[in-house]
Amino acid sequence: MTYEEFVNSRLGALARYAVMLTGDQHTAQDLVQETMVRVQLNWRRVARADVPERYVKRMMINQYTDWRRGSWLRRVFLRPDADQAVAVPVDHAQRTADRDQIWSVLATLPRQQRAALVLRYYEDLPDVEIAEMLGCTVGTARGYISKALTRLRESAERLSLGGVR
Amino acid sequence: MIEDELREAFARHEAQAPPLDPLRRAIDGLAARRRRRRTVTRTGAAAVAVALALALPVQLWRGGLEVPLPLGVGASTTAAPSGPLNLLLLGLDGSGSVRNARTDTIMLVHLPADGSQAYLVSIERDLATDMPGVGTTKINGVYSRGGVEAARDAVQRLTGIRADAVAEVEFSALRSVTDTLGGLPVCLPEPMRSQHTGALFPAGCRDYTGDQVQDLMRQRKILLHGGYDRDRVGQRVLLGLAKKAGDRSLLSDFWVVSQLARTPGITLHTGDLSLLGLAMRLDRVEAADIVGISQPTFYVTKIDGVFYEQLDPAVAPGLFRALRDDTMSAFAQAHPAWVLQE
Repeated sequence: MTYEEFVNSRLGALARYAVMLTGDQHTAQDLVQETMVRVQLNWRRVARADVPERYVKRMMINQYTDWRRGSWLRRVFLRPDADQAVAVPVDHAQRTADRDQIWSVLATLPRQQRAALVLRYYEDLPDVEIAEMLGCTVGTARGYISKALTRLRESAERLSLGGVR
Repeated sequence: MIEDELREAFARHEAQAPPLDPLRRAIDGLAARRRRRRTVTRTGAAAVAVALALALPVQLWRGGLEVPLPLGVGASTTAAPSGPLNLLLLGLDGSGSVRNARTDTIMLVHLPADGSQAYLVSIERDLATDMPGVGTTKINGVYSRGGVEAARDAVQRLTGIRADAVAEVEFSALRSVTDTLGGLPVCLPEPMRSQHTGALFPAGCRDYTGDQVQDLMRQRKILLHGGYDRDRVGQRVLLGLAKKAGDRSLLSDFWVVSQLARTPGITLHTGDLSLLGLAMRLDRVEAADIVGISQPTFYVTKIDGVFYEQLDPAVAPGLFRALRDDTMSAFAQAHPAWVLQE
């Protein structure tokens, strides 16, 4: 596969995947951009992987979760116009607000946990592959997911107890 | 169910994906800019690794620095040599004269014609070789008897490969290069305690000083597979060197480069190979593309009452054929036990 072919067929999926990881269009754009520049410059190595798309998605996770090396993250946060969240198309405003509550709780999760949720509930990967993508053991990956789910459940309960619904 | 809500939330936000056309333009623009910058300042990571000696002119050439070169680097022929290249790296222990020096590190650096990777093929020091006029001897003693050319001949008899260039590197040079670079990252699979200094080198990756690198590379008897394990430590040190050299900021530092250029104890024999051409070839290899190859363990033989090592007759001929036929990646895939595990 050439780099061109890869981009033509996979860029859309990678862009959507980046949104799931980062939570907003702006940061997603930066994540895809930074990753794909590296992919283009090192295409030979990427193409050697069994599944190049998987390899690239793993690169994105690494970049997203790795604070220490993630200079792109620092750039994103230091940018003056950061996080102009793009409005999601709405049907009923209130319903959307309720439903998007889950999205804003996602934003409060540690990165590893969020990535684990994306891999299971967006990418539908089995736990073994989730662990592989995160570079941890299966037990740790499951731990991330169960902690994240607990947090989501708790905040959903708090919301309904607070009588917003 | 929270899981279903989660799936729904993900699906709903797919609409937030950034538009693809501008994204693609941004990627191409950034990559082009970075590629341009890279051709100016990026150093051939493998270049330094392959042989400190080979690397120095490379760095100087790339940086366009006016430093007196130890070797006459003419600007005449700059075409990169085609076809696979084999460079012989001799690590010399013991200082001063050829007569006292033993080549305890012998490595063929193989560059495939497609320039995609570099292979470090270690040759164990106790291998038996027939030296003309001397008889059976260990390969690490050939250099002291006949110098560089004798060592090159011995490797050719053993492997069928005539090295295109030879680099002699003294341990002291490795030590000072390491210190000049501010230490080398070396990853060890298992902890080692030096039999010479008692220092403990833990498993895992850490930065080593020049003294530590030298100590590390002298350890043999404490290792399970002796000289074979030591050869792999040597490969790990070269990998560390390649990683360090890949650090752009470091080698664009004038002081560092001029220090490296003055390192004594490095001698290069390139024959009719153009140094600049060589530099161009090495520049295409990155640290991650360097593959260490070595025989897994002992294969002892006794000749006239003396113990020697020999090559595994089931594998070694295939290795040398792969070197000649430029099919090393297939060899590496077929013989994982011979490949250095990072």
